[in-house]
Amino acid sequence: MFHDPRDGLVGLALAATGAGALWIARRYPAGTAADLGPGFLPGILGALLLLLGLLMAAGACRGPRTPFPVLQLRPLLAVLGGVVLFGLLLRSAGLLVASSALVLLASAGLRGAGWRVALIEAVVLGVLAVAVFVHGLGLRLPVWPAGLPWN
Amino acid sequence: MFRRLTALSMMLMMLTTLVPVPAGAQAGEYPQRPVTLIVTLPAGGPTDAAARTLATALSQALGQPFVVENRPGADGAIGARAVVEAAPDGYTLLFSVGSLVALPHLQSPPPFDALRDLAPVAAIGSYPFALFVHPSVPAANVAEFIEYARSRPEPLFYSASTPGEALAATAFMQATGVPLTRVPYKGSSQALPDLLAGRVQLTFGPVATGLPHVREGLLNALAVLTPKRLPALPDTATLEEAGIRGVTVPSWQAMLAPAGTPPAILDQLASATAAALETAPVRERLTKLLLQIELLPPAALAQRIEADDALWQRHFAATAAARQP
Amino acid sequence: MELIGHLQLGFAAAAGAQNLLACFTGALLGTLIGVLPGLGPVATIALLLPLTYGLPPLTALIMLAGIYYGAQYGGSTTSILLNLPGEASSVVTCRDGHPLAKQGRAGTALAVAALGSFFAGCVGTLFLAACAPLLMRFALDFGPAEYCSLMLFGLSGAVAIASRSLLKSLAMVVLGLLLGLIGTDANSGVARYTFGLRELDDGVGTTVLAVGVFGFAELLHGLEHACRRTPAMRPCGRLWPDRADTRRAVPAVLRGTALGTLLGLLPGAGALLPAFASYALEKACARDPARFGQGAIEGVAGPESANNAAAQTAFIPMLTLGIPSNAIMALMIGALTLHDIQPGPQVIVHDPVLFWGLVASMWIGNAMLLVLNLPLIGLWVRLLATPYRLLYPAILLFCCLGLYALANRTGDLYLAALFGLLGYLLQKSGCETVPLLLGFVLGPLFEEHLRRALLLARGDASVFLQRPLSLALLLAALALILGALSPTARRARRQLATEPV
Repeated sequence: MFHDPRDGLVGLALAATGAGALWIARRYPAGTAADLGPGFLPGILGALLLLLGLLMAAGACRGPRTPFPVLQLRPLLAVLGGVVLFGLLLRSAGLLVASSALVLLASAGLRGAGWRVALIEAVVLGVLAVAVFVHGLGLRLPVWPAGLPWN
Repeated sequence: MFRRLTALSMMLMMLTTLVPVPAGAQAGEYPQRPVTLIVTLPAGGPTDAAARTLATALSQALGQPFVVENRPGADGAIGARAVVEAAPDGYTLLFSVGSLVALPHLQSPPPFDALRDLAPVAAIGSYPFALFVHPSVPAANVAEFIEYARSRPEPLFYSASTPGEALAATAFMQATGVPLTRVPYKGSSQALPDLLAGRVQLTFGPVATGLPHVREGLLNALAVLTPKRLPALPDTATLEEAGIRGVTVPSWQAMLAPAGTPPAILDQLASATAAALETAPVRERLTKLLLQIELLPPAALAQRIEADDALWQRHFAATAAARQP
Repeated sequence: MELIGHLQLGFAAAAGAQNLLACFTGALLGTLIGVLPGLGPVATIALLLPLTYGLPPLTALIMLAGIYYGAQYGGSTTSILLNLPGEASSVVTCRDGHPLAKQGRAGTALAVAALGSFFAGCVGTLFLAACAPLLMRFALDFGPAEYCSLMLFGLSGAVAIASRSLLKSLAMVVLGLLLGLIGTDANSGVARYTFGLRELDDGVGTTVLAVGVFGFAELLHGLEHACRRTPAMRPCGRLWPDRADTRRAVPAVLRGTALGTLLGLLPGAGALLPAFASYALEKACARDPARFGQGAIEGVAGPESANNAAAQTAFIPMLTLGIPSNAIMALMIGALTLHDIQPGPQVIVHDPVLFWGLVASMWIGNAMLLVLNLPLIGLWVRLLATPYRLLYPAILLFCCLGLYALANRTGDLYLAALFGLLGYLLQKSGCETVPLLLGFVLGPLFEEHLRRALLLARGDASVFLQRPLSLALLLAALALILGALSPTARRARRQLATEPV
């Protein structure tokens, strides 16, 4: 159906986003000319994005045939998963553990990175983060996991 | 080899920064470790300055650091929720302002129950408000202003960037019957250019914001919204002197704790705050910030919060009714 | 000459040992922070503000100002070398700076950025010194109608700089505008597109979006191409621009400086708009616009000068009226207030030493930054020799810490991860993300000023045409759009579209 499946899918996704924005915006009052309501701009933008998305999808049905780009899951999971893990650990397990976990997980994003090097880097960067951010810049964060005797 | 040694020694140096400092106080007594004072406004503002002044004084008085942590967002709901959800052990406290009580009425679902989820510790005072007008408004006092505003074919514009500013303007309109049109702003820094250029004619704003421009003749202060005249604006009458009653802004600055904090800790914090407010450096610093010092002990603060809650409820009910066609 | 007397007073104050030290510390700290990706000046100044409480007001202000413009310098380093903008305003520098680095001309790009910034900083400071009160009238006359038209101009620019598909760029601007609407509407109090999450009540932070869409997405891109990447980047290039570069860069620096000086005056316009407007201007002026995005030196020189000039003139509304034009100025007002100085018109009259001392320190600071940065360029470029597998976890960690330090919220981290996914997918789909960021930053301002302009005009939309400045900006916006639709521009885009991404 699409000659350029990439643009076709992006167009459809954008159109769906626009439609969603439009659907949610119907709950916001549009107001009057002298007192525009919170729904005025969202309505216009939602409709515009819907239109642009459909145009893009329509354009993808013509033109030269192009292959679909490759999406690699490994870096995606390692990097973004690392960020989420860091957020989850930060307040409960402390900066040291959270930083090291982030570095370890992120290092797994690249095939063939030795785990020994990653482990050393995790510890070094964890200590560095504590030194710079907690001691240097005075960021308010626990360093150690909660419940340790010296806390 | 050499590089490895340097790396090792650097790591060791860094490790020494991690060694925890043992707590110094005796067992069983509060506070035994640093106390976090969550401020619901960003660093650098007047509330943050007041909170830091108090935190420094409490650190000296109680022997443990009181550390200010700014948790701004959602008009203060984010910081307040962090305190409401914290353990009620006296190690997480809230420093917030009068409009905190308005949040449960403004946001849905209500982020917290202002009367039940928070235990009042002490208010240290409030930032006074005043009625400022642009010099293009030909009025030297409130009576002339009311006359002028009534004589105009279209209502004058007022800027409002906080619930408190809107509350004051609405109360003024109710008390005098003068129609005014609200121009909403995200913050006073956005409102100031329009006010100074005269595109918006008046505001009920904090004295600290307007005062420098009054001194320069760019704005006129017609009335202060406090019970008494202010030392900073000695020639400006109060609204009550002008015969207008009931226009106040709940702008207190206070420390609160999560509900369920042991009464002994609350008492200790309240009396330490009261003592700090008696010391000369603290008084001097707060006065410089244009804060009107007025200590409210726990019981009085609780009463004030209850009264404010009713005030906000009336205000929002009236605003909602006015919106209905 | 009154000005010279004032400047003498200022230099005498700023040249004191303590103030020189503060200036140096601030500039150095700012540079380091600017170089660390993710940790921007806002978070740093917020963190360091308490440290300055004990310093005298002038010293505190000099140090904070040093951090501020030091970070502007440092921010360009990661943008050029790693394609990682430390701040929203350096996103523009990435577009041409990073391709230059890939061609092995990182040294030249960095030197041009530093020299351009230095020149712009000096001119901006001179403006600040010479006509601060005069310029303030201009800023005050700029009302909601003018702002609204300025934002429309900026948005048309976002579409016009599209190098591949106009349709995709327009869609990205609209998507950015929609993302910018997230949060509580200031006029009505209605929470829009927050999905019941209280963390979204204040909207999405610009840094959160920028780090996600640009930073994380770039790391993902880098990981996919890691094996090809490191050797492709020659570690060092020559530092000084050659004659061809100079001929291109000098007019760009001049134009960027002029644009930045003017736009910096406007409270709320921020640092992104000047940088971006300068980029659009350079592309419009260039004889062969197709080079842009492929490593055009003007694309670095112009925006970097504009953003630094704006950084200096942003002090004018703060010092003369007490109006902060960005989050950093708001923090500086806080620092002044703590020292019992109410920023406002009387600062120049009542505290001449403070005002002129700060102005003089900016000159000193800019010179220090140049001396500091030129030798460091070699060091930064050599940093790239670090294997990518060691470099990227460190970058990621600093990004995360910087994000958290913004507001002490972990929610911002999850949000940035989400935007990282979005940025990655958009990159894969050939959509440019710069228009997205511009729509995101300008959208809320556009809506705010549109509503306010109509409210103050009591519903009369002709206000936008009646005010001359507003009309001029609208016509300029129209010209940008027509220019982008012209056959020449179309041909250039078609040529690029056929090249591999």
